[in-house]
Amino acid sequence: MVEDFLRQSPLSHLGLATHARAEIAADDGVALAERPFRTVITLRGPGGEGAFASAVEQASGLKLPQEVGAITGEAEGRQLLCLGPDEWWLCDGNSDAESLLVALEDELAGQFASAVDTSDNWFALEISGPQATDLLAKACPLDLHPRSFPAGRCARSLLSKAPMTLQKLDESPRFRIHVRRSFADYAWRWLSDAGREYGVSVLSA
Amino acid sequence: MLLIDCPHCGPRSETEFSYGGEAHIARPLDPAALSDAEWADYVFLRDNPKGLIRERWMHAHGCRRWFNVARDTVTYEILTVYPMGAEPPDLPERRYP
Ligand SMILES: [Zn+2]
Repeated sequence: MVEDFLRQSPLSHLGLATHARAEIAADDGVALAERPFRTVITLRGPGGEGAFASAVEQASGLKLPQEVGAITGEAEGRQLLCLGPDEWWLCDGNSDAESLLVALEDELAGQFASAVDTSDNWFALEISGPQATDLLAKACPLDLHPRSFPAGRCARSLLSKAPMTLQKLDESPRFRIHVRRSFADYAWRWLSDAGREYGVSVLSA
Repeated sequence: MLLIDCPHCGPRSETEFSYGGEAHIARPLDPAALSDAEWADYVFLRDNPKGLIRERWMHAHGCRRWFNVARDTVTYEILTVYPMGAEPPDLPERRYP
């Protein structure tokens, strides 16, 4: 685990805190917020209701979603995202992955499965506001209409040229995006620029 | 732009996929026994039909899984999608002049 005093957001050079607000400005259409230190544990193992699913449930307290795009858990707390037929993310707002990882390794002992802490590979940001869907639609080829991408769903796709993992947190709407840490500056600037026609508020981290 | 029906994720944009070339080309079991021409045929030579082709795609910016697609290279119609390792589905050949 990285010492807290060594940890820096990949956007620290932008000085976002100087103009960050608590909530979106009345005349802005979108709001962006960085969420730099979330926990992401990448899980690989067989799908289905077998030993792998019950081990993950024991360690995380969450049911393993079986359909690609499904999520279990709470948007602000702990979540399991099904990203492929044998690939999941265990996400947590708390930045300490270690205790979760120890629990997973205990439960998965002897199984053909893996749990790897990839938190430091990822950078998260959130897009909210009345025109959040319009902004995202400029960057991403997914059908974002609520009938095909409702709250509580996730998908891996592209944010312009950057691979991303997208989840819709609620229908306000609010989206959370994970991109690789080295794409943080690209993603932030791309969205800030594309959002200019709607007006962009920066929310505090 | 193709809309490709990923077996795990449903219809997604072509930009999320990477192309894997012609499907159902088996690696020779004993490469040392082949002539140069036979080896070159395995490594380099592919059909380039004006019509039905069976090809491999990978959902690189999605579920990251490989699968097979039967596609018409003239109309761009995707006739069917089927898993890796499966027998190619029985489809009427299509050839255009
Ligand atoms: Zn897919």
